[in-house]
Amino acid sequence: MLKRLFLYPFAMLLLLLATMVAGQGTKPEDPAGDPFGDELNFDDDLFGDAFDSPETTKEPSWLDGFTVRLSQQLFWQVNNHSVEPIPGLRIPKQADLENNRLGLNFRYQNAFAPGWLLQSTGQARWYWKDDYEYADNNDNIDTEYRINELYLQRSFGQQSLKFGRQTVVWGETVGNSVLDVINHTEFRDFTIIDIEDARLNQWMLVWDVFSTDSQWSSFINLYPEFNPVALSGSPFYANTGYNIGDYKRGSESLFEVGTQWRKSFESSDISFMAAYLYENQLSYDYPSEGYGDALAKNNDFALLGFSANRAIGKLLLNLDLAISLGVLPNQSSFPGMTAQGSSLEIKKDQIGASLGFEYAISSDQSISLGIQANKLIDEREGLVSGQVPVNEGVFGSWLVRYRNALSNGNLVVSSTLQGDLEADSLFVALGVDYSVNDHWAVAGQIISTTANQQTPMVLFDADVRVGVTVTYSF
Amino acid sequence: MASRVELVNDNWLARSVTMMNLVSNRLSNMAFVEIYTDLDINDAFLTQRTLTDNAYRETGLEALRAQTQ
Repeated sequence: MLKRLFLYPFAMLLLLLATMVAGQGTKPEDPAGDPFGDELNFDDDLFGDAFDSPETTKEPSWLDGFTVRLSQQLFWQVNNHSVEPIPGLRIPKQADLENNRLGLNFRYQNAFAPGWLLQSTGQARWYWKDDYEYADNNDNIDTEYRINELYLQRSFGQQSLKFGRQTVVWGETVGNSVLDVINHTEFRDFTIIDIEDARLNQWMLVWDVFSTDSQWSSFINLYPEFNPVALSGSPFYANTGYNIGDYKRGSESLFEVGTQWRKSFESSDISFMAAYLYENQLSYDYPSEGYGDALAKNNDFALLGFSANRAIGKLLLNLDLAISLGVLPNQSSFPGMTAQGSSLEIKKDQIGASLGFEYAISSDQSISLGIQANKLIDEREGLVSGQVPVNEGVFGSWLVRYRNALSNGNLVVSSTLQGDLEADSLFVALGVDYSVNDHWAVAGQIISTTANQQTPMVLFDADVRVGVTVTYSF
Repeated sequence: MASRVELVNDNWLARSVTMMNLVSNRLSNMAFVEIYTDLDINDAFLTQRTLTDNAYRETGLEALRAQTQ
């Protein structure tokens, strides 16, 4: 048990004694070289209370596997301004409360028998007055319940099988890997800005085979899902005049399958992977009658990939390479944003690379950088004169994260900067998280968005958002 | 600073270890309230698989817990 005490009068006395013997006081250094000499002595029983604690052993219960977090969140867009998505069209944006919601998240893990494990996570949301989902529900409190993760795992010998709703993450680069395309994502609003939080689980069977310093991992997904449509009223919702709904499944059977081989060396790992996937983002055609429901269309493609990392002291270098065969070149380089349009639905091959590093400045501070770059192969092929691809040349994004834990980890200051390689948009988030005790925590966040008319992010140009979240965990 | 040095299963152990951080003025103490020695730990448990295979990890941990009963 690690018991931390501070503000003890004893500690101040000891500090004074220690600094004196270390040469900062008036006493000369100990010639024997021991910086503390005989001065740093205190009573053995200073922390004797730790041994008086009653034994905490208790009968195990299946309820022990539950972890619950309650959080109340308020999020404002605070800047009165207007945006100009196309020249001459100005859209006013008033300062407004966007999020006023109570969330309940739970996690459950139970290793109920040797080699067996059940794991689940889920969430419930209550949308209060002035939340955009409250407004979308005709000014009534709205509720939402969702099971995120739910899988059963069986490990035996050198193998493991996991079946259920889960995520599969490929790639090494933190935050914007070109290989992190297996699970679909939902960037519903600016309270979810990290892809680690935006990934949605899918029904999969995952089969792992372990051997010395290497691992095969394969998956099959018999029910591929796609990025959900932005909710009406949410910051990412755009009224196109058409009803953009989810993908309508027909009689065709969809599946995704992939495999990865990973080999570990001293201070390094490498992986090779191949997969047959559907693009997570649907494309949409205008309704055939000119009104009604837009036609959602999926697109299958093949992915070949390679990833590697290398640790050098406190520095971790990451590299991901991807060759995507048969993708639709209508994706925005900014996560969560999609360029709509039906004019360029010609399958293309694309090469992509993510480079990055994570550096531990100290035990409390860390910084990471990731750069993602993509290029279509033969991008002009199949286009008629005058047609312009959405992404020309090299396109992609960059991401910088910084984190500093202060006050023995109780106060965490963090920042995220994200932009595209064309310098058309910049996203800056500053956060402060303070743990009051083991149960209560308070978090504050400021998010600024800047963009020009070359990107759909222009709709959020000059937005400034301020948020606060109070969390209770048990 | 180590104190409460005791012989536990033929292993000398400092059950109270106190550290002082001269920069942050923090005094920290690690107290070994309970400790089990001479457990039989499978070498295969101390591999990367334990980090990613939850069922495998829990099975290994349960085997360790059983030795402490």
